[in-house]
Amino acid sequence: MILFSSQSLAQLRIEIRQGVERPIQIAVVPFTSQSLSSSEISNIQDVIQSDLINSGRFTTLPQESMLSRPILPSDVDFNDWRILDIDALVIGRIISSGQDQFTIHFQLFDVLRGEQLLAFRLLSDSSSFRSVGHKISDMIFAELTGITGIFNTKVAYISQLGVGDTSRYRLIVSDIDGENPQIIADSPQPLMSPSWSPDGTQLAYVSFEQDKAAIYIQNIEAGTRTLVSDRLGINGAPSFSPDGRYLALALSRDTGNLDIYMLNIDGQVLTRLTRSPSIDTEPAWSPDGQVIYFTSDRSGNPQIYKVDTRLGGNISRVTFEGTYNARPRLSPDGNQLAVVHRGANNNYRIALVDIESGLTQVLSGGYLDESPSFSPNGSQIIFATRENGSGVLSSVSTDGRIRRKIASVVGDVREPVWSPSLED
Amino acid sequence: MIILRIKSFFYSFAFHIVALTILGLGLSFSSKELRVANIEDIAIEATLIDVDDIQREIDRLNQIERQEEVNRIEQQQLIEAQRQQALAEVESERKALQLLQSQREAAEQVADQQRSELQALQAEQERIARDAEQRRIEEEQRQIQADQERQRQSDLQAQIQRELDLQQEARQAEELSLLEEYNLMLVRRIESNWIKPPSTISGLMCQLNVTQIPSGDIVDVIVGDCNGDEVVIRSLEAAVLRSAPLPRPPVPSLFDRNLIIDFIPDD
Repeated sequence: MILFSSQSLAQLRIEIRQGVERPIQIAVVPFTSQSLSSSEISNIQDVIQSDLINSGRFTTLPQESMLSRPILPSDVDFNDWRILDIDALVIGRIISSGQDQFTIHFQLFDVLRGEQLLAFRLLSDSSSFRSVGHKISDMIFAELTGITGIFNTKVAYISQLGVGDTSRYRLIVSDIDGENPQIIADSPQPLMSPSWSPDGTQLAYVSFEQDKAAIYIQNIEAGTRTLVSDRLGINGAPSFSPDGRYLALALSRDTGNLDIYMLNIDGQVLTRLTRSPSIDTEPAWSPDGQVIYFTSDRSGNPQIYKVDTRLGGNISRVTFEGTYNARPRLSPDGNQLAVVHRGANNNYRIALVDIESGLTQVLSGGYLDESPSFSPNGSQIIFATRENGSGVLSSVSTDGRIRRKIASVVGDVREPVWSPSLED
Repeated sequence: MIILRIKSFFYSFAFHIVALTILGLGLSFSSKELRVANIEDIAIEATLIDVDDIQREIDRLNQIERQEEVNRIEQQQLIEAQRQQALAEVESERKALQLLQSQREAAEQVADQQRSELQALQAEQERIARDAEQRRIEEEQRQIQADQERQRQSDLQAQIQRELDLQQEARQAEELSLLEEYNLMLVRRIESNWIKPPSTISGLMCQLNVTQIPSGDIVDVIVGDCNGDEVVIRSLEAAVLRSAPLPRPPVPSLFDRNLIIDFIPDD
């Protein structure tokens, strides 16, 4: 006779094979301050909230639903948050430490485990509260998702104001949420093709201010700039190499036809990489700097090709899906290209091309989407889309789940380029 | 049949002999008369001849008569001999028949005896065989009965074992299905509470040892072997903690204080 009891059975083994794609529930308790107005404080706290929400990976608890509003870690009763199914809790306070000098304290808690995950103090003047907010968002985001935050990165883009003779072109750098725009260059003549230097301190761009296309490199902070290519014909589509020593660019020179070149910035040594009667343009570097991807119509319609930067020549085609693939940009891991892809109903949309398999996945939903650019953590792509006849900034997560319009930008916006991760 | 035929032949033969004898002895009236008449006829004619002739004739006639008598006697003797011979033959035939008969009877007797002896022998043999067969059958039946008994016993044993097995299986199946149900409840709960972080690597393998109390509340979570980063590990712990109180088992006996949870997500 066999008797049964829980002891005679194997210990329960539970296999978890999937998770859920749902946002983390986070509560950001209003920060407090002795000396600041609530609107000033909200510059930090609201930035954190909206950054986290905009990432698509978080939902935040409305203030009015909170059962308590702890200020200090010792005030926190985790049960107040567990009962609301909150996963993570942020508290903070701003302490005046001098004339327009503030110390921002914040703590991040794991509600379920009832433990503190982060505790930081940041120094700031009141004008940098937004930036501090983005920094805090980045820290929270990285701590809870395991990927680098991008809230403190920037976007460079061209904005056109007005049309015809009165129109102005501006190269603008703003926070990634569109806030805090700074005019880098302003011209009655077209500005085009901004490209970030790998350290995020410089922008290369094309300006028609001399009535012909020329390429400049401008220091963002100092505002100084250098003319780097003013050769005969078209000087276009500059792109910094990952080591910052070269620009890839498209030159027509005396042929009247664009080919891809590599320019040593310091020595002005020019290396020609393509030599074809077709248009070769829009070069983009692989992260290791060994390959340049570019757009060429050598097959009869625009497709992406690549060329080896060390050997020269050795050109091969990369995209085969559809009759239009252009403006390639490499993902940070170098495995994917973001391109403008002409798909169904002749809509131009942002697509992700897996370089190895050639598999193309359309991410955006506009009809004239352009200029895709990866976030430095590779999780999102920013691009320009048309809305009411005007270009606006938009972003999409690379898994296609989260699409978001970036409001608060003025003018007809084109050619957004995501900055690298920025040191501060 | 043959005997009968010989007898009838013998009787007809005897009759002829008697008839012939009567004829020869002149006992037949008509033949005497005929002879007399003949003499008269001859006498009438003799009138024409001499006495010598008559004498000679008489002599001749006597001679004939004697000859006839001799012939008759010879005939009679012959017939008698024949008769005797026939009789002898009949007798010998009879004797032969008798002998044959007796021989046959003797043979038959012998045969009968042999037959009966044989029969007796056969009967004996049969009896012996029957006895043997009977014994064999009895032995066989005993054997069969023994076998049947053994079989019955073993069948009974098997039946009992089968029933025990079935009961055991049923019990196990019930416990197993309930265990599976419990397991599934736990899997569903935890899966629905695991927010898979973007940094989850493909091929993640993490084991958590969870201690619960009968209410389903979790008293301890220990992360064992795990190839995930800190964020992933925290997400696993969170998944478990978020699932508390854990579902309670369908039957209390299935409750297990210590749960092993393997996070092995499909890519």
